Amino acid sequence: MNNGLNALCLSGALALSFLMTKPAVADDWNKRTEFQFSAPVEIPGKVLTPGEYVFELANGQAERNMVKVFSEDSSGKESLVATLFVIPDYVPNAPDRLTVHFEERHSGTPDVIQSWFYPGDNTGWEFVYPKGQSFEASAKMMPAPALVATAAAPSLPPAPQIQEARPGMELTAVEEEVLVAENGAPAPPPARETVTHSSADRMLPETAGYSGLELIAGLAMSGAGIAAVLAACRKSHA
Amino acid sequence: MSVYWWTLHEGAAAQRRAKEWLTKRPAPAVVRRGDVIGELEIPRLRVSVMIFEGDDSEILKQGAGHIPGTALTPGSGNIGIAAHRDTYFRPLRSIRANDVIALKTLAGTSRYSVTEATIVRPSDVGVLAGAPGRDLTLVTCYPFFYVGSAPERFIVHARKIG
Repeated sequence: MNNGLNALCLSGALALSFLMTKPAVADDWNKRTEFQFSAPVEIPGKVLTPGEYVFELANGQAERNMVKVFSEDSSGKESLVATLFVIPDYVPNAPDRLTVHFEERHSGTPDVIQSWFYPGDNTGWEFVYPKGQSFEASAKMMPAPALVATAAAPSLPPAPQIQEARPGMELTAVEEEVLVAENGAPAPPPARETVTHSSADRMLPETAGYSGLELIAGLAMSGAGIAAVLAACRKSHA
Repeated sequence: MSVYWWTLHEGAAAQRRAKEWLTKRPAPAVVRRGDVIGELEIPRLRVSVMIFEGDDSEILKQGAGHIPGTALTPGSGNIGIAAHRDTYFRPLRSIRANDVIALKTLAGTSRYSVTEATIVRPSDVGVLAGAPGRDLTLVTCYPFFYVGSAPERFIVHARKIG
């Protein structure tokens, strides 16, 4: 009896320790990567100021086309900065170290992150920029450059120095094409209707739906099934 | 079980009535709560849902709801539309950039291209504000599979393309 109890306790403790241990393959699954940017860089819809950031794929099976970007403060606390669409990008030879592709911009404007490849994967993740969006974001930060000077001889900033925080990995910044032709003066944004209604000002609508009912229905059906099985067992014993 | 079945049945009936109404009636001069606004379609995800004016629970049982205070007509600003995450908008979990959304109203059909999806807190109503390239915003609760009142909102932004 004591041996049985000990075995039960041991197996319970093992199960508990397994549940509390972070799986070793978690990083491979969500491609979690920590970055340290020494200069501003741009992602779709946002400019990241210098600092530490974490990129990781959304965990859901159906959400592998989304990347979450977290900022990390000095105490290591993470806060969500953006959730972004990505599309798979492919290279014939899998890089053995973390690789980030940039698109350089004019002097004083942040470089644009195009894609990143996790070490050992030949499928990377490319950020999706709506046409003209990346320039729009840059234009908000910087005065519009003179068109003639831009077209003649653009002065390019050095690529931002990025230190990848994971030990044993080296980061390579691959400089991509420079799109100077797109840097014409952007058209002023059209006037848009703003939200003025009181209900929309307070809170986004709650769309909980029928989950509670579904749960109750599911539990009721499970209970009915178990009762039917028990009844059948009793009948067969009798 | 019967309550659950009846709720689903009522929603489907409201969708049918609204679709018939949209094809027969002229545009009302004033839009009131519960009025049919139009129909939203996302062909790739096989989403097709009628839109009613309002975003309260009674409206969202019948279909998608136009969020009051946001733009109402295509091209006039950011149109906000909400629907349940476990019925009409559940397929939004598979939405991708550049997916096409069609919005049929009494004024005609407009097409939008998805530009961004994000997850925000319920208090982040700034996602409904107008901005360049943000002509249509879909709102539903997040996580998609969650029992009870979901703590976050899943937001899809789209820009008008036609």
